[in-house]
Amino acid sequence: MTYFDNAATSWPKPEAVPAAMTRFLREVGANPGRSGHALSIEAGRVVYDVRERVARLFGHPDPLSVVFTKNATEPLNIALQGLLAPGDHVVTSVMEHNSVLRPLRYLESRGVAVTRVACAADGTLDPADVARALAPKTRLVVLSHASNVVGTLCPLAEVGRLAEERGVPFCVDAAQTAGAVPLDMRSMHIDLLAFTGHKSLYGPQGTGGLCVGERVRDKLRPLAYGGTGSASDSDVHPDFLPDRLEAGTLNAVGPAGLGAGLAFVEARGVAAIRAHEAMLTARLLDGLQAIPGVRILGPGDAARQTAVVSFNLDGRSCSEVASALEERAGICCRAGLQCAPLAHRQLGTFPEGTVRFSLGAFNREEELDTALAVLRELAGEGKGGSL
Amino acid sequence: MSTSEPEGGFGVVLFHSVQGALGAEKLLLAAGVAHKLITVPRHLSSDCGFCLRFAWGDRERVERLLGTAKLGVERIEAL
Repeated sequence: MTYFDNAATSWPKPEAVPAAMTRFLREVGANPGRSGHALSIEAGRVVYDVRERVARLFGHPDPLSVVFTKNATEPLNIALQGLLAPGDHVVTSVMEHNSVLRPLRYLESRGVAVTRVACAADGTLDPADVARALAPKTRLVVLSHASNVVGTLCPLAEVGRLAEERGVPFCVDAAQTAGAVPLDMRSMHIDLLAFTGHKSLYGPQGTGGLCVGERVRDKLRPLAYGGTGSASDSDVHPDFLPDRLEAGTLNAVGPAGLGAGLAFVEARGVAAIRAHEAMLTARLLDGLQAIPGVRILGPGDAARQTAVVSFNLDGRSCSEVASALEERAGICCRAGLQCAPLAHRQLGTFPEGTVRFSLGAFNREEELDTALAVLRELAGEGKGGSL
Repeated sequence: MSTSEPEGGFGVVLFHSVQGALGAEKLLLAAGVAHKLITVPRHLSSDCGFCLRFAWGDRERVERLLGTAKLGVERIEAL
């Protein structure tokens, strides 16, 4: 089995991840923050340690402003629905995932004006286009750090700086980059960073979070209200973080596993992971470019993209190619639109979609060579060959 | 820290969130200040979680250590 679907969720996980989750369930297990006994305190320590690791990784100064959620979609909804109101204007791009596009479409129906900045043919965003889109009523700029379809990296620091100069908060969807590409909230002028735990942070599914910067921390309306273990004498929801955005019992076993994933990323180093993935991406791009009939979407340059590579093979649908890769060599990849319809329109691949390989820290060069061999075989068979 | 009462008695730091108490625990551990996380005394607060107990004689040191940290200290009281 060869796994090239790390942009959907990373696999395998470091052995320490299931071990930490098993330890939590077997030896800790209590509700963090709802009681004062030893097991509850220990559960709280496990969760707090992960807040610190997240804050450290993203250059965020305040662990208590790291809020845990079940994925990246939830914190993006907290940011978008929590900040924007009818009459407000928000700037985004056409390269976003549906986790941004759909909440914005909903908010548009409630009177929020949305500008979707177009990108170049390879998905590259020009910060000057964002600057031109800013208006007096712009209350937020929201962009993904990298396209989940073609991996194109967004110039975050430039956009963040110009948004800050105009006094507009900047929200980043880091689902595709957290743990795989260096991120620093301070130098990139990021006010809200939404991340998922189960991709390049190597934690379990059901984990993610939002790092909340000081400029917006008092403005975010919660999506959910409820018990927090704090201020229990009042039926009014607390106004301090993390409790304000963490109503109800946490999925504490999730952060327990995520902490082990973060420890793996810290030990290996984001720069080293990035270098490994860039090496693999360059090898894959070189191999694909040498196959007749393969069309690569996106930058085609490992330095300008993540380890996400989309392509098509002339005469074959993307689903045919993905099925052949699995049947002939046990390769797991994703075919289709990858939950990003506007990006595919921009790339000219809507509604057919693409074959997407997304690589991770555990992939090896030999796996790429096997996949390239299958693709060469398919290309040689031509249209109508037996699949 | 020992459960035997120190001269001068105990004090507690109450936090808005128990997550703040856990941050404070790390700071006091690093500074070598004796302390213990305990269930929030019912006569001080209705919170369900825990707070940080310390020897009242260390009050100034505890205040100084927590003063610059963003840990959501609600108040410090003698027990």
